[in-house]
Amino acid sequence: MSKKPLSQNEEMTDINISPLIDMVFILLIFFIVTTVFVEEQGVMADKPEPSGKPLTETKTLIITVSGTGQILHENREVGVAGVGALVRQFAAKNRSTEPETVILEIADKSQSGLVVRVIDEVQVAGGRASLTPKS
Amino acid sequence: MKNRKSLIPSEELTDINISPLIDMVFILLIFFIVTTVFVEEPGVEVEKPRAITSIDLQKNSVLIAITSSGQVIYGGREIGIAGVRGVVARLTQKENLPVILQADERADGGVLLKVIYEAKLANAQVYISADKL
Repeated sequence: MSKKPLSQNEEMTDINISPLIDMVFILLIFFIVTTVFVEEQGVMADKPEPSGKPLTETKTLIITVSGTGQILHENREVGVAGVGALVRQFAAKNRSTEPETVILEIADKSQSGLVVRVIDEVQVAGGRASLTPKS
Repeated sequence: MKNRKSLIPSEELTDINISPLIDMVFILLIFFIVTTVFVEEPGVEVEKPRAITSIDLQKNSVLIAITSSGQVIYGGREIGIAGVRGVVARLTQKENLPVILQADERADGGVLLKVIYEAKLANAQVYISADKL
């Protein structure tokens, strides 16, 4: 006899959780729908840091990406494939331990795909590309 | 009395225990809440260049697209080169977000450079999007 009121009392304390579950499901669906799993990959785009020292051509490697799709170094066509060799050669001459900063002069009407390829070549050769407009 | 007693246990048996389901739903919910970032996509299709040295970039970033016709697009709207600085400055004032430029392979390098400089003026770290080879 004493058992009956106890069990009734237990049923009373049961909270109805179905609205909570409904809400959680709605939130879950919202987050599933809005989630996008994009992995962006890319290369760093840098510009030369302003320093007091003037850029002397003997100290910094300057490579030009022309509007006609040519890669030039001191007015000589080197091509994309020649960039890496140029950077390594320059780093060896300078005997520098830190990554060599290479100035890339980008002309108007050049293709950005080519620019990225040159940046890539410079980084493969252990340099750091710094972009500047071609005056 | 006898009839009633046998009915009640039978009803209790048909009740499926849904607590593991709810636990699982909660775990999924937490997972999706944690992994969601609300990045505004430019909404244009660009042909990305490829690079060997391309690195994985932060998901939470400012995405700006440059199309082959030289349009600069953020969040589905053309903002132009002049609009880059304002957009980047506004979005990076709370937290230091990097700017990722989705430049088309055939986009003008001059435009790309101007956009990089504008974003740099707003004190942002700039990356050019490139698929890993």
